[in-house]
Amino acid sequence: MSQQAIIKPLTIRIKCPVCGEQTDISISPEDFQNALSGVVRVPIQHDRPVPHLIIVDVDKYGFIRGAYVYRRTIQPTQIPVGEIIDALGLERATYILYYFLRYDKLKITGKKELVDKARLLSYVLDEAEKIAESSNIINIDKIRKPKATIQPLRQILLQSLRLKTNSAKAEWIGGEYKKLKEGLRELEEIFETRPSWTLDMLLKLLEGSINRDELRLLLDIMEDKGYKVSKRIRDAEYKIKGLFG
Amino acid sequence: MPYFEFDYPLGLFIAYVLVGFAFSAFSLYLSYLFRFVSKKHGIERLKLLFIGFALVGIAYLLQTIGWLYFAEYGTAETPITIFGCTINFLPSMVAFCMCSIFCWYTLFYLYARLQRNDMLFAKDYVVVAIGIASAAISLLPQNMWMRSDIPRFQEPAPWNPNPPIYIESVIRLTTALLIIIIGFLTIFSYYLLYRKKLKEEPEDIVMRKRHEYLLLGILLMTFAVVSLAMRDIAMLRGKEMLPPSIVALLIATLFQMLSIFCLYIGILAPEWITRRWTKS
Repeated sequence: MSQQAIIKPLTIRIKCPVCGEQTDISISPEDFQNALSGVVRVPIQHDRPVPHLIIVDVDKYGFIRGAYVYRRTIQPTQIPVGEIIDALGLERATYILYYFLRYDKLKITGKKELVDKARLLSYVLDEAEKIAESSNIINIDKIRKPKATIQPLRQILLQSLRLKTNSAKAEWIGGEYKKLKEGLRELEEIFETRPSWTLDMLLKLLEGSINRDELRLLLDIMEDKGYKVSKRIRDAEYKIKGLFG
Repeated sequence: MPYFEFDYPLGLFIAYVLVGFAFSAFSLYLSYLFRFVSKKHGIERLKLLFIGFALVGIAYLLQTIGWLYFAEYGTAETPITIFGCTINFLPSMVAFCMCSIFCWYTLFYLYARLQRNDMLFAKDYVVVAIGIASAAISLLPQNMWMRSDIPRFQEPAPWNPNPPIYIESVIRLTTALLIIIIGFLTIFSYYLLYRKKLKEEPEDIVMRKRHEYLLLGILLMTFAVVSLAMRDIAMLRGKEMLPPSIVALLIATLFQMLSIFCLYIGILAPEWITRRWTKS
């Protein structure tokens, strides 16, 4: 049977491994615009017996690659995550996630209400201590698009829109962000142990569930931090990026 | 209308076709890589190089298929009908190849310019205009190939008994000259980018060598396409000439192979050569 990528919205029925509840999720071709590797991670929230979160991985052909429990219990939060994303806008919020990953300390300037929202977002990411006096100034009104593979970050925020409560959104965004942060830390540790790498070698060594697109994002962050990443990755795409990027 | 017949040495012809396929496959592979990197890493201007290499790859693939058609039919008159319009496939594809090379140069120029300054100036628009005009000229029927009788531009008339029959050669030479101009403008533009990168990282020998090979590849491409454009200027002498531009084909093929090799080393920098550079 030939496989064909989905071209119109598709409804997939999922049975929750925790509570047994059946949920219909809708997957559309737009969901894959930011999922370059062709797999979308869809978070699903259920409220009984206790609020919990499951994840379903769906590929571009509409097949379920995996379904697993993300959080058995969603921690309640008072932070209005949905409102924050609405106020900042999806793009700006994506860039802010990038800069939180990129810098150890940063100062956010600009319109007070937006700065306050970014500060609230930092609590969701558990990065409140990063906002301090710093030479890394992010002007939130004129925030610059990072020169990096930011699609995985955009995808996190986009998929959070599927979740109904702020608590679930915070759990999902915070969890995914933490995974990337851990991945970056691990990557920085192992990167200096060899003079050159391939993406496959790095993926094998990274123990977290980092996919190829997320690895590209982390490598871009490292490049931004001053590592000579493009010159040390042997894959053709990095050779081209190193010469022409 | 008589067209040249297939009377090439078979071994040479096979080698030429294989080089044609290798060149088109390599160009298409690079175009795929440029699109991939542009999409994955959000580098929008790499789409320029993607389009350039895709055009060249498609044009050379079609031209090489045209050559097979030529061998099969035994003549360069290789008619195909598309939407009710009949064209001679090989001659048209040769012209399309030249057109694609003009586009490639112009897009490469634009890329190098944008990479240097992030913006275009008035003179850049002039270069782009030259590139577009040249691409259009390369598609003129006179740039198509292998008619063994050169039609006169005008029929002789009592008031003009000796019309300028060499219009074809004028157009071919103009095309060749335009290739040289646009080729050198591109090389110059890329050379300035190379110097800028050299200043940023003077110690990086691998990057320096890669840029140098890339520049050489672009230069060699100019020689290859110029000889293609001028392939049968001698044809103007009618039956006296050599069978259609076999020498031009040999020269074009040689430069094409060298150009592929240099572009391959410059763009993909295989391990065996980077090790040599770093050792030296």
